[in-house]
Amino acid sequence: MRHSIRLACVRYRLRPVTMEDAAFIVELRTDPMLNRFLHEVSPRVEDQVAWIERYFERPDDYYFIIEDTDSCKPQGAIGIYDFIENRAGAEWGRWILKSGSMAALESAWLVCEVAFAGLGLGSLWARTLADNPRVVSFHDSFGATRTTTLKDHFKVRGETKAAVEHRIVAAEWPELRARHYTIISRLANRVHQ
Amino acid sequence: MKRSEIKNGVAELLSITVGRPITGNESITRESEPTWDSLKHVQLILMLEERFGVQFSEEEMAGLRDSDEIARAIEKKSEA
Repeated sequence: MRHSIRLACVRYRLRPVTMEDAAFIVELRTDPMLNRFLHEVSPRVEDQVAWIERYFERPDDYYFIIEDTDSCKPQGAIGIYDFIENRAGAEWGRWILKSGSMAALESAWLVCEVAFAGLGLGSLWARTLADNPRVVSFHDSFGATRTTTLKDHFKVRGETKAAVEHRIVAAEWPELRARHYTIISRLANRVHQ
Repeated sequence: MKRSEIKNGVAELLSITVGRPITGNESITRESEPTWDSLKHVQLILMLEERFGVQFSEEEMAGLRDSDEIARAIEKKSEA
């Protein structure tokens, strides 16, 4: 959907995806180092433009570009979608970052802040390819609860794959928010010294 | 600071990062340790900086991908 949510943390911020981001998204999603654990996408920018056009028409689908607050350079993308009734919850994903980007923690923090403080969701879940243990570990480290493993959830390059689901409920966010903001601030303060 | 002291100190902090004992002689990589995720990497960097009194740039942080490389980088910064 066309939304206008913008939110900054310390070094990075989220802003709505625009048509002009199509080439950047294709560049990321066709990078073999980055797309091993993601659904395949067409390498044609026109197809991504068409996908974004369809996305603009879908209600309750919030797609963001993660960008550097100083340089405004895009670092990656992230989204919140698949809402359940009465905004009781939604999934976050479509998460991809440029190689070497340090935006992982802040972008996860930002997407939770949008979900809980901005959209008033009751819970937020993420489904990660079980074959992607580093991202599964990230969700564990972030403090999300591993809720289930979904067999044959993803289809990647013709093969069905299991997904590990992690969930955070709204009541847990204030503690996690404060915990991770401390790390984000410490990191930013020394990087900017 | 001696290289062995640095290696032992790095191993001690990496043990916290990956959740199992690591010795100073053991070489581990981010690739080989699935629990060495990007959040734990940031926490590791903050611990290393505090322990050894050094500071890594953002580029250096992203490039530190194994225990030997980390020990070498600290040694180099300590000499400077």
